[in-house]
Amino acid sequence: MKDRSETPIKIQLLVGAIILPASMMMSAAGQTFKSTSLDQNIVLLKESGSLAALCAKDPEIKECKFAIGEWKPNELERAKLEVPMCFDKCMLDVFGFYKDPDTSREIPAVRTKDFDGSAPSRGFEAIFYPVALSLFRYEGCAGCALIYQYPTKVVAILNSQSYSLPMLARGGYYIPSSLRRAMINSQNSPLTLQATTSEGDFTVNISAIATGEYTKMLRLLQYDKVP
Amino acid sequence: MKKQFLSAAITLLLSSASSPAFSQTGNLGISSGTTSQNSSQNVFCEKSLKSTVTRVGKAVLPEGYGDLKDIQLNSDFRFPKNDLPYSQALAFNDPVTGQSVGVYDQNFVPGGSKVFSSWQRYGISIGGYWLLTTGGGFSERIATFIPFEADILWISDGDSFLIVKGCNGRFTVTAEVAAALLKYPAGKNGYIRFSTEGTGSAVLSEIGKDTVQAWKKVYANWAPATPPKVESLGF
Repeated sequence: MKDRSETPIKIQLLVGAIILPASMMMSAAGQTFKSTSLDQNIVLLKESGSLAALCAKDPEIKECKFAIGEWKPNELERAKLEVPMCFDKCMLDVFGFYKDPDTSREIPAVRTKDFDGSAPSRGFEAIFYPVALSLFRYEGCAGCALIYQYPTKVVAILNSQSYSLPMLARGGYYIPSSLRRAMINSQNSPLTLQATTSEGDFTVNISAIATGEYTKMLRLLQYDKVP
Repeated sequence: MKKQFLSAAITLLLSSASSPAFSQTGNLGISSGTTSQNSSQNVFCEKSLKSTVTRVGKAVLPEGYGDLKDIQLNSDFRFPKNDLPYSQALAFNDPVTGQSVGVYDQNFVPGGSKVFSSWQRYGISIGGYWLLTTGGGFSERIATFIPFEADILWISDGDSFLIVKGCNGRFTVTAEVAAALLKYPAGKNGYIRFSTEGTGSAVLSEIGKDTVQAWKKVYANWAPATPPKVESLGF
């Protein structure tokens, strides 16, 4: 009698001992396959060297799964038919795919400038890519070398909301998903960038036209579908 | 006018010392006792009638130089105006030789002799002019500027010193030279000694403490690597 009453408890313990670790393993495995935002993978993005390489490696990242890039060649070729294609550089404040003269890659970008009309040789140039921004200050004069300066910190302000842009490279900054989403939702709002350089702090104004073109790029490449 | 011409000549001398050329290659370590002799390839010093072609990969700066002014060397010899700051580490983007980092230094007697030096990651150049005056008193005072280019450079390196041979004012920076310059104590002026083409005497010249400080960035220990491009990270 004693043995009979103890047997079910032993079996329960045995079953529990088998099921609990198995369920923990499944949970851990489940987390591995869970889709994460690119925001949580910035270090991996840098290590991979390109967004296309990262997406090829980890297609479960939300931006890779929902948006269009070189990892979805057919969709990308279709998207290219919607906008101008330019050699080297496209016009200012126009979304287009430009052909890199060195690599022949066709890269979507919006190039814009912020300068004082009375001194056009000094100002900021910003190039928007889907998830990154290139920003530098330029200063030139007739006959002297052009000097670039790269901000050591960039904060974007859109509709009184601040977004810190992590640094990816010299003059290269990551555009977080929250800012991308906010720009998609407020298509024609101008954007302000607070740039800190070794020469001081600067305010860079990005016009509504340029932000509108950037939003157009995000929509065409289906970044608006990224949850 | 003569001084302007000399200044332009010095600018040309200093302008292209940023080549990654032949750096840190071809070291033949031969040591005996307390002296050692290393030779490194420096095509500027090759003197023969043989035609040669040397291919050199363009240098790319690694991460860590984002705070420096990035000078785009896009004005050629027609515009000798060179108002780049002295004693400050600068990044350079040369359309021919690629990216580099360096610092310019000058040492002079106001209205008199001047020593210009350019301390780049991959090459050093030293030149300038001596001012010699004759006459004065009852006769007319005549000032003569004599341009020079250094060909031997002495660098202090702890308990020893390096004798670096170059030509036409140019010296190759080997790993040993970079390490020695990196070791100069920060916050203090440094000294170099150099001799010029055609003379045996060696001149002592002071290097400002800001330039010595800039050497910490210029000759920082890093291996060449290509950082990812922003456009690749962004698309």
